[in-house]
Amino acid sequence: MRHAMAAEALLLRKRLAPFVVGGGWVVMVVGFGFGVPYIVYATLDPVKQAADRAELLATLLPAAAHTTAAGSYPLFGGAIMLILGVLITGSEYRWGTWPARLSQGPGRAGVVLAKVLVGTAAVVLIATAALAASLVASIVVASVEGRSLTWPAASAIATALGATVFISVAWMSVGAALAVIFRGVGAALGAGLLWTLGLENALSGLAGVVPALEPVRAILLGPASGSLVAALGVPSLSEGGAVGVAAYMSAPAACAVLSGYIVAGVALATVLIRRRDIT
Amino acid sequence: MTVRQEVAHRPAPTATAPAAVELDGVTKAFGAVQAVREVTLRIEPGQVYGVLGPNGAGKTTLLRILLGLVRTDSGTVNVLGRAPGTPETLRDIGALIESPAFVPHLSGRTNLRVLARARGVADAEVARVLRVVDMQDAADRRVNGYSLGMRQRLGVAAAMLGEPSLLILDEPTNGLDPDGMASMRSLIRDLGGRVTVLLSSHLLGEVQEVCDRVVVLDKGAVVAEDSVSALLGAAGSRTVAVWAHPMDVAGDLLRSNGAWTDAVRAGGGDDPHWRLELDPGGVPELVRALVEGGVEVHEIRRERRSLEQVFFALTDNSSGSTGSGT
Repeated sequence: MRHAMAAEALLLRKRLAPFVVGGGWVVMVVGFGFGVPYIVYATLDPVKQAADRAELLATLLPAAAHTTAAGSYPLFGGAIMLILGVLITGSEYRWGTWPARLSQGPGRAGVVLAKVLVGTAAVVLIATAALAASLVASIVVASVEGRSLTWPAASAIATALGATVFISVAWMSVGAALAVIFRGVGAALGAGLLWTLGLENALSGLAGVVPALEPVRAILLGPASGSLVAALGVPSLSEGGAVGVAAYMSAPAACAVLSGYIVAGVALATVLIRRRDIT
Repeated sequence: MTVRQEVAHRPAPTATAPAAVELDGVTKAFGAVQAVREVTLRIEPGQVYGVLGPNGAGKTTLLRILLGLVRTDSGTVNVLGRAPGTPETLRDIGALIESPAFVPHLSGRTNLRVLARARGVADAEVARVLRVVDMQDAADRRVNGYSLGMRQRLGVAAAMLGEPSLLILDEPTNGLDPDGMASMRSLIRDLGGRVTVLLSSHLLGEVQEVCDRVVVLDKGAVVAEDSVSALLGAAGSRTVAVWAHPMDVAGDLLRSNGAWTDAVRAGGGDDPHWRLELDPGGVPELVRALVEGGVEVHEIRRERRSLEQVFFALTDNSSGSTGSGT
């Protein structure tokens, strides 16, 4: 396991994909979490829409930077982390490198676990970078608007970081499993993004009008992610917050669902890699 | 190249060492396709062992079974005294299966470092194997810029990481230029005796040159398994070429004798001679009959068939085909 981790860490460090995905995500968090809202804020009428402006500005200042960043994760962050998970395991199929990777010594389960653990480390770095960039963006906004720098509590920052990492690992695990199921990158990405951006949203939306679908929504990854972020105090879309954020379930229930996806994703990938012939 | 110095420090296996590879009644099917049928083999430590067979004969499946990448349906497999595919077994095996695959946008050196770390061997080992395959100069270039031959050498380097005691090489000279092929054969010959080498190749001359023993597979089953010399001897021992003068008189004599009616004229106008099937004990009688018939016998030579001829004879016969490469 130790050797598999060392190999995987070197491989991920030398690959471009984590940097592209992570860097792209940081830009998206800053752009859609702070850049676009600030443009909207600047176009609002200072007199007629003063209340809306104040409300919007409050989400862009350092005191709310951590929750604003977290609000980006339930929908778009999840999809990005799913892509990362697909690339971590699926690229081995694309390159044809599984036979070589699985004939060096570490067991198959160890190799898969190493991939997920190293991917988790990458996710921690990406989430930390996104949070740091959000704080920097909020400082810029505060400076431009002449507001004082009021910082969130360290515990609030840590909680938000923990929640975003938790959500990201769940999505990444699903992506890793999809790549193993489909034995490649293309089909896994297609299926994953179709599920994430299409079916999950459709089911979640329908559950609002068809009560029979509520139990289904309660076990979906997107609503669980949105509920956990909502528990941090991020307003839902209807309250002027981010897309995908809504308190569909309690924070413990959301954590249970996310944990379930992590366990199921890793277990499925491991079992398939162990059982299948590598040809 | 410094191949000899690089590999010479591994001690030769002892005579009492257990078999490097043992398969007993191994069978594997992929759906309706029977890839391997009841294969039983024993490969001694230090042997350079050839695996031959036409496309689809089951060679690569057999090699994957030894690595634990493919599980058998039935039969037992023992590799270096252990079950195949376990971490302990894999750490003692180096393998190049089919065309070598690497992360294309990483350098050759980085690819080897990733594999070395998985094996738990130091980066210094990467430098050693790169020297063995003479790839130091290109090691820091991206693999996607490598020629097929360079990838092949990198694949062999990867297989040698950690000085495994069993090397499984599937078409190791594929894509190499003549110099590279000669170097690779030299490397394999040098490794023999110290390391067990399992070599699959379509180049039958190569197998004949470097292997101690050979198994021929066809449609997943073993059709022959013996030392190279025994296979060549068994298959080629009856064909005799006769140079005599006058040729026509010799031909009449041969054909008039009921035992040699299969004699055929060969060699064209430059080197005319007669070829016929003859048991080893029949040569004196043949010479006597020709001389008594007034023919000068210039030379009689028993033809030694190549492994390629043996291979075609074995695989065509076993499949019931009437076509023959010889």
